[in-house]
Amino acid sequence: MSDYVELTIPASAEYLSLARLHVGAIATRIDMTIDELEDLQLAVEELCLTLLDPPPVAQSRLVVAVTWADDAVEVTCRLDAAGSGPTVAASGTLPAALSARILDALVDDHGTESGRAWLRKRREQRPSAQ
Amino acid sequence: MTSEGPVGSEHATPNRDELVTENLGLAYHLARRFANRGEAHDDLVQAASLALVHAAARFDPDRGVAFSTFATRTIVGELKHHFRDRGWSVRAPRQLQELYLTVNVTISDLSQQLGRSPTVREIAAACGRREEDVLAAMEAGQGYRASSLDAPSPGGDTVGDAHASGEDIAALVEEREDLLQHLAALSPRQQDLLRMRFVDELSQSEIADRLGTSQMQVSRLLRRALDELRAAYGGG
Repeated sequence: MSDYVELTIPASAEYLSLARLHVGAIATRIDMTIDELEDLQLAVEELCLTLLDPPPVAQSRLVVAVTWADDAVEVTCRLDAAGSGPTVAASGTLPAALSARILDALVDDHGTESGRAWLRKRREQRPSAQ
Repeated sequence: MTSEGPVGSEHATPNRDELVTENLGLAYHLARRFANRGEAHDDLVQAASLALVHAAARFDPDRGVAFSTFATRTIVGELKHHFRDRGWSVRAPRQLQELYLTVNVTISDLSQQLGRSPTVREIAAACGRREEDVLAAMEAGQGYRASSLDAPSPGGDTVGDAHASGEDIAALVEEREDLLQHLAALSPRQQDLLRMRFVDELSQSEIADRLGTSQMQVSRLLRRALDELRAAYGGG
């Protein structure tokens, strides 16, 4: 993976469109097709939402880190939880097993470990791609 | 957009009713050109037909413009208004809304030309816009209300039966009874959509082809279906 960009947003579902735009811009850089890009965005959204359950303390931050190479994007999301206090509004979350099946269909690889959730999506090789 | 004839030229020589009946085909045709952008087909036909009636009322043959030309301008103007006023649940700047419509059509055109889903770069080049504008328009499109969520599209799009779709999706996990129960909160069409993407693993473009709609519409419907399923699990 050659390069690295990190986006930090409030840990709340309403800011996820920023994460979508963020990964969309990177997917564009490596010339993913719209189908691939949309799958990546949908997957990142799902990944982030899994971190918002249980609802984090208000003022917590969601960090979306993206690395990429010529033919693949890797996204790692983690929660920087604030100390204590009231939590953000709960966002509905899918059961882990279903979430995993959905990610299976959207990306090449994904996982969760020590408070981080990550995924990897390859770009399909196309003869016409530059 | 509409250049309006003098008000009160209702006495126009050609019979107004005839103008309307003779040009209903035009209204249908134009409505169809605006179809697959998230608005119910019937609503579009209605908006186009109403615009046709207005055009007939305002038409002034002395201005030397053929009625069909005048009516086309009026109807297209009205259809654009229709989208601006009713299509967006989240207010997006008008320029972005128009770019969204352009991008939507460009994706369909390019997909057909290339035989695959296009890249943002290709779309931007085809629209003569910057890549980030295209991305922004696509994101804005997510706030674009699909009022015809469950309305069958004109081509008819009943794909399989929802019960079977629900069963197929539920088979993805072990807690299938639980999932089946929550899936019941979704419409048959939403269940079909989830099955096509996550069980059959069709791409958004392939689903769009199958449903006779646009890839961007599929993207929006998919996200909404997932949101509603999440809400169902969240007890919402």
